[in-house]
Amino acid sequence: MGQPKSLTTIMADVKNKERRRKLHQELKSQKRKEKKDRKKKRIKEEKELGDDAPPKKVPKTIESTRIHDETLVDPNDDEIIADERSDKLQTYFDRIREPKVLLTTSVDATLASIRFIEDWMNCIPNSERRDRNKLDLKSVVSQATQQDITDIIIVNEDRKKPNRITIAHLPDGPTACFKLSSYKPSSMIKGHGTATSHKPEIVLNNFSTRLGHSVARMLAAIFPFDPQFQGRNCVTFHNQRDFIFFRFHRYIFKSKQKVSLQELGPRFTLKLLWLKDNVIDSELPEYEWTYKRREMNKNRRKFQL
Amino acid sequence: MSSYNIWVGSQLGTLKGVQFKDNLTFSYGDHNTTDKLPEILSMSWTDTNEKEICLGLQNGNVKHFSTDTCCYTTNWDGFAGKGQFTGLHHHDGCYIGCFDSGELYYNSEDSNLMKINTGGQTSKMTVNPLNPLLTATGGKQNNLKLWDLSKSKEAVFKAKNMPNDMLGLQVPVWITDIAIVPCTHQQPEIITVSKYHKVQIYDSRTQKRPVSVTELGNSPLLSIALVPNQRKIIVGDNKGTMTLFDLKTKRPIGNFKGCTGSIRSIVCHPSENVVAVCGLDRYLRIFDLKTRQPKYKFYLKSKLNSLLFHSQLFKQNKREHPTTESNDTDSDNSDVWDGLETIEDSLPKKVSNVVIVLPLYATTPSGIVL
Repeated sequence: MGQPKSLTTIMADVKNKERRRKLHQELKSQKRKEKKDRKKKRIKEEKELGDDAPPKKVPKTIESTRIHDETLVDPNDDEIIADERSDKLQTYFDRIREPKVLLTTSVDATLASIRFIEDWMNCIPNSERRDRNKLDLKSVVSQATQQDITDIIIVNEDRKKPNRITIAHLPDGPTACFKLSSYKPSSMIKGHGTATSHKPEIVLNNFSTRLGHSVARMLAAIFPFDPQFQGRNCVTFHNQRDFIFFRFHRYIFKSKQKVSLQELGPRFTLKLLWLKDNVIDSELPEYEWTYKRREMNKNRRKFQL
Repeated sequence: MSSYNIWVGSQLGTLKGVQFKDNLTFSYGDHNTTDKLPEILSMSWTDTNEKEICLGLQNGNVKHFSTDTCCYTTNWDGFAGKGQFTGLHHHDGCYIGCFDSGELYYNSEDSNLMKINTGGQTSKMTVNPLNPLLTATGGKQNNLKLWDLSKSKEAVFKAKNMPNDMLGLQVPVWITDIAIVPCTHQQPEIITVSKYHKVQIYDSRTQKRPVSVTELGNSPLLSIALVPNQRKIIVGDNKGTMTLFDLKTKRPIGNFKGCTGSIRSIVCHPSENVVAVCGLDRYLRIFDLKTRQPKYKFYLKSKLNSLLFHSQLFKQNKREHPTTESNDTDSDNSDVWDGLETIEDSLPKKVSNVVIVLPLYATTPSGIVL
């Protein structure tokens, strides 16, 4: 009863917008003042104590407060190493099958998807684009297997814009579907360069969980085995908060410490929707992982990849 | 004596023992070798004592694993090279094995391998728990068939497909899992689950067509488990949705939330109100049956194929106090026998109910009371 009400509680009861606005301004200036005082105090303390000063506080971010995931891969875990070795993608990592990629669109796709594919093909050596022409998926897969293609990438279109990418590893391999967003073609990137035909290096960042590992392996299996370092090209798949950012750069070392980058290729973001254990057109598909919005969206600090 | 209460077979070929109370898991299987271990496709207890597990491996080999000594004991390669197991059971020293190609083999006591052609691709073979020689098979375009292995090579019951749909086309059949309601007589009630998201209930006593067909969801249903002593089943699909389905009203009651990958195996504990699920998301999950809430989950690192409950040990672990091991085994033995008695008492009651009620409804097309 005797406790003074905070400004926020008083503000909640005020119906008059003008008065409420004034209270809000008061609240803001109060908070600003408190923050300034705290900062002054901290600087003064640091000056006085010198080396004994308390360490600088690190701000909490969503990444730093991420919920510990059991499935985080321990690089020394024998079982996970064996599991990955017996994977369907191991023929790529054992250097048995050189990747040969087929890129195509969904049925009745417009020029937007085709432009996207042609832009993306600059980064993927040994790739080919074919028109879909109302061909059903089964025929696409059978024709591709006849021609020894290892991966099919299908760009799905909605409302005249590419919106999904499905990567299917061919003989019997896993299929992953991603949601595509924030696509910026290379022509729209300021100061962009033109890609050469050199095989790029691949960087896969932050794929820490078991599911992340499977996805990273799939993404890596599209590119040829040995990068040509002369080309100084680098493809980056950076995973942060379950969003995979794709970038294609050319780098140059100005000195041992300094590098400068020139962006070459398209820029887009992917988000994993599902990962299937079988081929894309399998009769009885079995999902290894599906995005379940109601169950997975509940906690902002829990990530899957 | 090991105290693992759940055994899970993985796609990597390792058998994992899980003790849910102390959160322990242990893998049996050396995966450090360069050669790939054969995948564990099918698992079953060799007998009701639950001392040994019979494992059906990818190459057709059958291995025995003793849960007492926690090591592999015997290896039987009578089924080697026949194909991929879709069901393996052990009964009185004999093996019943069914393969992907549709061949059902029974290794009878006189060591003659009896082969039955089920007529097509077989996705699953299950046995009647009370009479393991009564087996059911079903697969892609291969409708449900019941076989009595003690009698002849002809099917005892052959299911008939539903009538053609409104376009005059044959209704496609792809049975992915079968559950036989335990019974002592030769005409059980069978529940199948198909790729076309249908739950079909057959009564082999009355008619060849399914007694009821229910569409459940949009995804292919992959596994089924009977809830003991209740007219309910649990159905799992290829996306991780597990539904509790009431056989009386033929409607879903609710879902068990948590699985993210295809469900390969669902097992209900015979007496505790608990369900265990395993699948491609590499987790073993345990749910409470009444509340459908998740109780425990274990990350088991490789994709999981099949699962077995050690019914007695699971119950014992619930009542265990943190005392010395020797004390526990003494008190647990009495619990073991108590547990056994209650199970036996309930079964005859159920069977007698069915016998009394059926004749009253003998004239109706659907003979069984649901």
